[in-house]
Amino acid sequence: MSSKTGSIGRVFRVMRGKPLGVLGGLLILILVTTALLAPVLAPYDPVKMKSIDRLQAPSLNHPLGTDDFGRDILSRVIYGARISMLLGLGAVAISTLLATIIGILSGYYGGRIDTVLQRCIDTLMAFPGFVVLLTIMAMLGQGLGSVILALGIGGTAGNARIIRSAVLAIRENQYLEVARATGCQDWRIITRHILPNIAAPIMVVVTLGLGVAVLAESSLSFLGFGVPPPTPSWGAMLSGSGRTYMIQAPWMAVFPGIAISLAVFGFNMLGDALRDLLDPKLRGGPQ
Amino acid sequence: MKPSEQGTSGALAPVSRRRFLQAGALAVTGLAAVEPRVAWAQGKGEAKRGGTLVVRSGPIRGIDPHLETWATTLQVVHQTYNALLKFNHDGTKILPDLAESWEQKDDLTYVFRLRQGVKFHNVPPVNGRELTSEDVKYSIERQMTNQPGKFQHAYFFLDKLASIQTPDKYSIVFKTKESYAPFLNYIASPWTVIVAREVVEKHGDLQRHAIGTGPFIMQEYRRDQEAVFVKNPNYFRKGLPYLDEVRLQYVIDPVAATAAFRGQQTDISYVEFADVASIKATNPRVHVAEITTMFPIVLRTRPYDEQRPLKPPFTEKKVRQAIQAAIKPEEFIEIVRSGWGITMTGPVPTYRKPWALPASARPEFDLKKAKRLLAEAGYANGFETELIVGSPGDNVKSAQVVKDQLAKVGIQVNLKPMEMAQYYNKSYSYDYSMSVHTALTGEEPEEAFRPYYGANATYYRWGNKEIHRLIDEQAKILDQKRRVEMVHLIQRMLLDDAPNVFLYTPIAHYGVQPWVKNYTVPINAYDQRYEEIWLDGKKA
Amino acid sequence: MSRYVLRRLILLLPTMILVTLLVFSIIRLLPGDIVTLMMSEQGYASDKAVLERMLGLDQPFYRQYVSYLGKVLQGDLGVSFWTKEPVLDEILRRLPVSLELAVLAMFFGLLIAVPTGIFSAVRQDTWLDYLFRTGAIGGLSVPGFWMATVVIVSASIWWQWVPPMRYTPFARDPVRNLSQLLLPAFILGLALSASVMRMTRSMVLEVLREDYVRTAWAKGLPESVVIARHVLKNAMIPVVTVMGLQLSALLGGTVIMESIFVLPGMGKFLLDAITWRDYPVIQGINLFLATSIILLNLVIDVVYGFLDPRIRFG
Repeated sequence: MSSKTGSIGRVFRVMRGKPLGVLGGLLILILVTTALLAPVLAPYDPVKMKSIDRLQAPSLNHPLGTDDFGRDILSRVIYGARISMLLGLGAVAISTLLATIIGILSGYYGGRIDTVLQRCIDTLMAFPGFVVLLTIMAMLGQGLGSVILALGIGGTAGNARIIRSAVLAIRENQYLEVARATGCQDWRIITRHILPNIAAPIMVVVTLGLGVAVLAESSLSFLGFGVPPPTPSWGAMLSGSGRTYMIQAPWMAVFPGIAISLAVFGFNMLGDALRDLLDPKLRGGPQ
Repeated sequence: MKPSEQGTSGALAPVSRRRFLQAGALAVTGLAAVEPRVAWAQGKGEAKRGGTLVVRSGPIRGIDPHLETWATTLQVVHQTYNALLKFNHDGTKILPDLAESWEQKDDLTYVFRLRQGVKFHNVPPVNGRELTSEDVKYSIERQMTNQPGKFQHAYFFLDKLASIQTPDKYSIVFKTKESYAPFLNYIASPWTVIVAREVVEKHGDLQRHAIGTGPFIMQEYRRDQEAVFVKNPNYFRKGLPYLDEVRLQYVIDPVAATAAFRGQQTDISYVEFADVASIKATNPRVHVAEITTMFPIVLRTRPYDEQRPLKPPFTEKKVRQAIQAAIKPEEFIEIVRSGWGITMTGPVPTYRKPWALPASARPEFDLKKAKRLLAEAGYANGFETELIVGSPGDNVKSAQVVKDQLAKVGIQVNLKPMEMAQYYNKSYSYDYSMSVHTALTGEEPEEAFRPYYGANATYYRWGNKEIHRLIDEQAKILDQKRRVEMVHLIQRMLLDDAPNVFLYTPIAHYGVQPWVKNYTVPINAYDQRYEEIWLDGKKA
Repeated sequence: MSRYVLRRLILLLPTMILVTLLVFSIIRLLPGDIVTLMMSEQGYASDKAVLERMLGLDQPFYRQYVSYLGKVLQGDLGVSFWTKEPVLDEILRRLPVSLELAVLAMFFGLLIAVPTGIFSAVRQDTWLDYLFRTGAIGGLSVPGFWMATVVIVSASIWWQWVPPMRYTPFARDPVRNLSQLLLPAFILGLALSASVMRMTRSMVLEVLREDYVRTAWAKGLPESVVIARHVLKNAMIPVVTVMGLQLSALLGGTVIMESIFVLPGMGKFLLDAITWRDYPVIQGINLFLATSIILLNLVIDVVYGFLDPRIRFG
């Protein structure tokens, strides 16, 4: 099965069958657009502090209010979209890249390589995800880059397993046997036949991974390991001053919280729908 | 200096403005009374016996009073130990504790008479034996230890005492090498408690065991959870304590801790200033005390000594002075604490009269002057530098304000928050350009500068030999008036040298439930003695 | 079958060694080592070398590792650098807390996920299905610490009540114990239920399409009977498997709930150990968790094999 472009009509039919997925997709579209157009959309500089304007409730001047530094929350939420996208894409890029390499090597070549790599994967998976995150963050110190790296590495093991099973499923395909028999080089087989066929599970993994990254960042922030200030990340806004001033200035936490929820919701809905569409190739868990 | 304008809505704005103006006004008029805020909780009525007091505690690293420096250790220490002397609630008077009387015979000699019949806790290995002068000698000598891998307040007495003699069971004679003005303050320090040799010999150290002469006996201790104490029936103050049990509960999350207080699960608790209004609204009978703490926030620039020379741009005094002139402490208090803080005039907090410099000595906030100084030093276009700070915490917020303020004179500050462990490491390897730090002070004024700027300083290093000399000298001056002059001189020199900018001293809030009687929240907020508290009306 | 188990057990050994090696090396790569940390609060500077010897850190790496491995095989996980308590004891003391929290979380997760999953599948593509799926994802989209915060603060303001902040073991006082643990377990279970619900749903859907179920329909059996007797049994196998895997994630991932609800569990213990570079504790916890998880996975795979006769182990 090669790529899945169909006529516009088919696309619409698919969309109608999966309304939740469409909803998710829309949310993600809004998120991406906001992230891209942040400098245009944001009314104020998100890091400029102005003590006079501290802790203002939402008003015409500041539609989502201001925080304890006097910074405009709407602008911070908008730029936060950028940070979330950066974070998510960075983390997912790393984990998908690593997972794909490992998964293909493991699944395609099998044998010794597979065994060794599987041992490594098992080793990594033996550590609860959060433990891995904390350890990596402690090694790398704070910073956006560290968080991305940590989330990326943390997500690799599980994804590698998934991709490996997908590769295994295709490997037995007769048409590959033919390709090999006719003397096609390995890397060619991989790029021309395997990769396109695992594009589907990769897409699902990426979409769901984005949601996980956004959520994980907020948890890391809560524990003090997130993106350092004054960078406006939703997680930091929610878990930091947002909690401190929860009663006095609830808008500081409510809006980033809604943003996180909508983003994670969107990614999950979309990922879900994709997975359903591409079922039964992918279901995760033991085969 | 004018108090800056306050705009804004927000429920607390009127209060914060008032607080802020108060500090500002006092600073302007130079009134001596930036009093430490201490509060009397309700104390009327007759003492009632019994009950459990639950107090919120902070993280505890270890409970050995001679080897620890964290203030949360004191919460434990104060239940189980006594010292020869102690301070009153606002740190202005020294009172007898284990000593019933003392006398300074001459410049170098101090004689103490111990109370008779004071017994250690009736638990092994001391089994209720009597306290003698030998225990005092042992404890002071132990505090002066210099062993590796341990933390300490050894600088109190190390190399300062010529001898400790115990002519009989109840007297101790201290002889100092030279006249030593801080002597009595250090004897009365909450850290200089008297311990039993047998306990140390049995366990190696006192990090996990607390057996002393105090009003409560430690029953259970789990470092990252709680410490439970029961009443000492043989306490030397007859009739005390009233309480049956004290429990120090460690709740790490501040939001949960405040909720616990609102939910009446803790009787005394540190609370965030942002929650004070809602706490009072939930239960108007709760008392919330405001305490000016003893832990000022300081902006530091690069430390230096003989092994570690200064690095540009901090080699230039004018650069440091420029930074000082560009900092506006009021904004920190406003943004980070919503007004709950007071400004400072030097390393000694302003409420410690007469040791603190008067308000007139405060460096002026003057952006033009800052820019001029930078230009004169050759940095007309500013420069770039890095600032480390321990995370999480309020200091991260202060760091952001520093960045914002210094940007106005062209100094670009790159913030580097790091986890506490990492931060301490860098701090104590004295290898950083700038940092935001929480300093320690004590009842003894030199605690605010000797361990920072003195010759053998450890919390910071400043290689100015003249300041070293003066710091050594001031300790020898027994006449208070002359000593105050020298302490002022030292501080003025520090303001001129400007290694650090003294940002503010936070005002903390302590919630006390209405059924806690006869309790005053002391200024040294972790120095919490509960022996005189009783409970009246607490639900089981 | 037993050959499979044996082979897995043998493969366990290299994995375990890799695990210990990994942990041992990584924590030494953490910046700000413990020696500097312990020395940093001293009144006077002193001898770094002496401290290193005290902590056993002056030996070359391989020697430290070998001696550590030797002790582990005898069941000695060392003592904490900071508290001098044996690591294994501390872990075992905290394990019941984490375990109880994890088990309760899984219980809630299942409680929510299974009925909604079945319902969703049986009424596939109706508004009820969408509602449940939205709800499931919604439950996992809100960060747990935020939910916990809102609940605790609201309760404390409206009813002046909070869950007890002092841990009592279940045996001593079950009511108190549960009143502290139910809320965090529920919140964790909520996040868990999303993925389990989806899995349940898809498994049920698949089973519903099977021939033997169609036969049951055709025979005219009532819906509930069909579901109970045929669908559930077969759909549950992978669900149970996934739950088992979630247990591993839960064991380490409860840090946040432990912090907020003041539970002395393993998550918080590990976080503190990392923060203070307490090497033996970090090693001990990681080793313990990794071993438990690997063994757990093995058990699950075996059980899964038992339950589903179609699985062949080759």
